[in-house]
Amino acid sequence: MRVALDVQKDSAGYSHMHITACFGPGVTAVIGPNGAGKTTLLRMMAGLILPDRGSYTADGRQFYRYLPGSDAVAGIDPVSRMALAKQLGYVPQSGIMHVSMRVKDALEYLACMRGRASRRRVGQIMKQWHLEEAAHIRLANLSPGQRRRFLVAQSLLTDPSLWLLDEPTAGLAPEERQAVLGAIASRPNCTAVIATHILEDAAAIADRVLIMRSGRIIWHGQLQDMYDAAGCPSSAAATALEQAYINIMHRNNR
Amino acid sequence: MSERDKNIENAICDDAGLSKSEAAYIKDCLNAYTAPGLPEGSTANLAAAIGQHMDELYNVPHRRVSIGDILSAVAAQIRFYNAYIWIAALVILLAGAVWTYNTGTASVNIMVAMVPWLGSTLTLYAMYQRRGVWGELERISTVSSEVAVMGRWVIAIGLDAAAALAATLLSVGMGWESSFAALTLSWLIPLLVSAALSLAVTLRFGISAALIASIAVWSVQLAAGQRLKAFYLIAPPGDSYWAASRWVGLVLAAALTAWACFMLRRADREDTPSCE
Repeated sequence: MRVALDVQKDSAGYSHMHITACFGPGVTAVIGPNGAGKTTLLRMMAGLILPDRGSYTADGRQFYRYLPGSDAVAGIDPVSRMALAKQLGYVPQSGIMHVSMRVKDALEYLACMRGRASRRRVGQIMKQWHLEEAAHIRLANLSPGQRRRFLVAQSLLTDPSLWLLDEPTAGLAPEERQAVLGAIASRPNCTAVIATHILEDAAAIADRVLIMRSGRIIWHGQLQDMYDAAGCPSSAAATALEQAYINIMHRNNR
Repeated sequence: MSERDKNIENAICDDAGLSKSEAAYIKDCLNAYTAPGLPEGSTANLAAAIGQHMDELYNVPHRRVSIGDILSAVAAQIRFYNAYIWIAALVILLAGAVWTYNTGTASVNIMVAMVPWLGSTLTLYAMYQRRGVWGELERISTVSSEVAVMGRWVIAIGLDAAAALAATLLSVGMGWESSFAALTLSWLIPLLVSAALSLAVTLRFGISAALIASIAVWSVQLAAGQRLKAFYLIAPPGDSYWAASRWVGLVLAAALTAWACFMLRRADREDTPSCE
């Protein structure tokens, strides 16, 4: 899926958030300091929050509807919502889930909600993410690792062509982290956007990097271009990305 | 025109072959990028990539969504009410029926009062589960938050209505003189008000406030009784204000539902789910 976003929001914790970006197949890592707007960007792309003004197209379809005679965003176009929900996978930051449903029921419920009601698909996903043993555990009682695996698993129910992941590897054991990174890398035709603080992960799987600060993009481009722009060798990718990130942030401070 | 702008325009027009208006739009978008020290070539490449992207956007087939998908999403809401909730509903109904059987016609309002309690409980239960991370997951759906919440709310009312109907049948079976329709309305209207009140207060002030409001409203109803006149929403059939109180209840339920819909629409604009 190809998405283009040009949005402005005045009350997102920054003085003014303005993001203009396009995303295509491949992995884009969104990095930046705390409060830069990474999660807000992902939530906006998932349709969870609306901007004040702007446009958001997914595969050429406008996602928003507007107040008559104005460019103020009034809501989400219902037809676009339906189309996007069937192709979108979203992994939120981990948090407490109050829901009393059990893992298997929850996956079946979410599959229904996204127009992909298939028990076979739910079974496949549970097997793939080693959730079979936890099938009858209530979501509120899952361990942090199980919860994160559940969050990743549910995002794959739709076999997404737009996959938004918010800190997908935070707090995971090394083998689980590798499994998540492997799953992301194994979907080259999917448009994956990952917000992360772990630059090692970004360097390992990202094709492009987007750096945000204070609700704005200060860099968006190929990983290699970023190394070149920041004058960093790419031989040790994780270290190079960290140095390139620091250089670009430093330049932007001036 | 700056060197950067020239590079962008050349890249857009030469490499992607877009019209001037499209090129101007892309240039405006690109001007939002502020990266001191960014190599000119990099920006031009990005512009060309966006140009290609725009070209492809209009050739991608859209996946279709059927009515079945929507119905499936709405029907899925029933999964929220687990076995314990159904059992609790049954217990409340049976307790009310036994109470009514023991006390006779005069205590019909005690039975009626139980249904609003059930309505509030189910609505609050459904809304409590919509909070936090889970709330985000289920908002990515083929239906809007409004439809999902309303679907769940209708299930709560449906269960209440079934309970009311069963209780009415029981009451008529016991040989009361009141009409079947009058008894059914005695249960249905208070539960509508109750569920709408719980939903609206939850959305505006949170679940704790809704819980307090719900308990307060129905406690006052039971305590003040006929002194509330047309606002005595659980008035039994035969009460002089019975008909007026049905209308008051309907108007209240409609107003609260409209307010809840408004709050749900506004919730999309918030950073956090409104029921937290």
